[in-house]
Amino acid sequence: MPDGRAGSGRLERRYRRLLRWYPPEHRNVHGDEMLAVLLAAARAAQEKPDRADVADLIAAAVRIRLRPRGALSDGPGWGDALAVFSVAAPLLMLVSTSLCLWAIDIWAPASSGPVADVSRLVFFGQALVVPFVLFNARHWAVVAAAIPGLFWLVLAALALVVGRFVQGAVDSVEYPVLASVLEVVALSASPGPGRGLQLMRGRHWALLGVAAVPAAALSPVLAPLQSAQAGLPLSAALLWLRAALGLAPAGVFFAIPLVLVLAVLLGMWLSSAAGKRMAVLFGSLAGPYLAIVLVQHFGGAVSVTPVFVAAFAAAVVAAYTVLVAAGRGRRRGPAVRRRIDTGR
Amino acid sequence: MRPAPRSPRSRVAPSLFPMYRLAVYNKGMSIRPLQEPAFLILTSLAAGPQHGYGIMADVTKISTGRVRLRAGTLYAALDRLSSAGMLDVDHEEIVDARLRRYYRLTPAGRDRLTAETARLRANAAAAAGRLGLADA
Repeated sequence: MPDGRAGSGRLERRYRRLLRWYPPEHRNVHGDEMLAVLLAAARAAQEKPDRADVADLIAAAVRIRLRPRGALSDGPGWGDALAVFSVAAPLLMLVSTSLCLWAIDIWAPASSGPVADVSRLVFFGQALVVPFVLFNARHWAVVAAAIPGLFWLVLAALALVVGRFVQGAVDSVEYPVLASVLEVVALSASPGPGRGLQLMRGRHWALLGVAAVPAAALSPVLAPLQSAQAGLPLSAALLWLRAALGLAPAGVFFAIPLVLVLAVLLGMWLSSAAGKRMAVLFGSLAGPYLAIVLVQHFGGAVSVTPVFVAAFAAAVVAAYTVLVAAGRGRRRGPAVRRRIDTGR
Repeated sequence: MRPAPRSPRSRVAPSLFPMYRLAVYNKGMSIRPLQEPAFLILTSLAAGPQHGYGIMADVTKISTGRVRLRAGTLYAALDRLSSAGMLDVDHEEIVDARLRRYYRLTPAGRDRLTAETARLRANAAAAAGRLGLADA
């Protein structure tokens, strides 16, 4: 090994500065080791890092930062919950949106205007994510999951220019925007859908299938049905349930899908620590809509605006980040910080 | 609904040093051909445990000077390979107040390198045969 220690003080500082390009998790594990290799490979009395080394370090650091890694998934709890969510959320969206479209086709075929067409597009967007998730193709799943969100951005931009016609379409795809944001977070911050598939057992798949029905009943994708009765999405849920279950549209049945969704979330929350995390994830997916249904049920008037959904998505992501960062701060004990004293 | 397919790739054994597994890569490293740096790193470790600088020097030697790994590329590859369960930390030393961490091939890494070698050999034999090279 060549003696790279000559003039190494300045060189070492410069290499340390370059290593700051790497994420802290990577630096904690490989930082000292990389520094040792860089200094060992240095020429005698070298004071500046090689240009080729600088380019290589920065390029590798950027690649590592772009890698889907367990940024939020430090600790098995959140990582596993996000992994399961990354599989379950697109499936839930796919099944519930297909139920909605089926309901629209049966009961309101005349309403297939731009809004229903957009719902269909969103449906295909979700359908696109599902196979990638099932085959554990995480990168492609991230791309597919991001499409509804990007699509909505384009529509929203168009709405600013063109006006009302597109505005309707923008309103009807807000829901997938939230799902899109949450799915991208779950896919990129968890160990991946492969882990989710590994963790999911028969009863989880069954629960997913059952939960899709009330989720569909609450879905804003049923919006075209609202002309039948005032209020969204409660009346749509009612219409859908009445026809699907053969129930009379009387009092208590208004609340059936709402109660079912809340019951599923509560059951998750109570089942285990992992279940609690799942309840938080699914609750944030359903949150704005549950809130609106509740407000409408008690006679209030709320409409889901794009700003509301975007703000909610941002708040949820921020909350996850804070939660997980706090958890990581606690866990990162002296074992991970096993740094070697290099005389600095 | 279809029961969950069990992914054999996510069956990475819990490491003795879980903190070295930064990225939990379930992605198709076991299906796609290995990239050249990864192949050369595994080849270097096939002879026995080796530290970072040792791997760098060995890779240059194995590739007869054609491939010169730099620290960034080397550690990105080491991180990826250890996440995929192909290598693990063997031991650590402090030399001249500097950390030296030795890596070794895991059985999964050895299998992967064997499979990759067979694939390359078959391709090379086919090419040599069609080109009418002597050692076909």
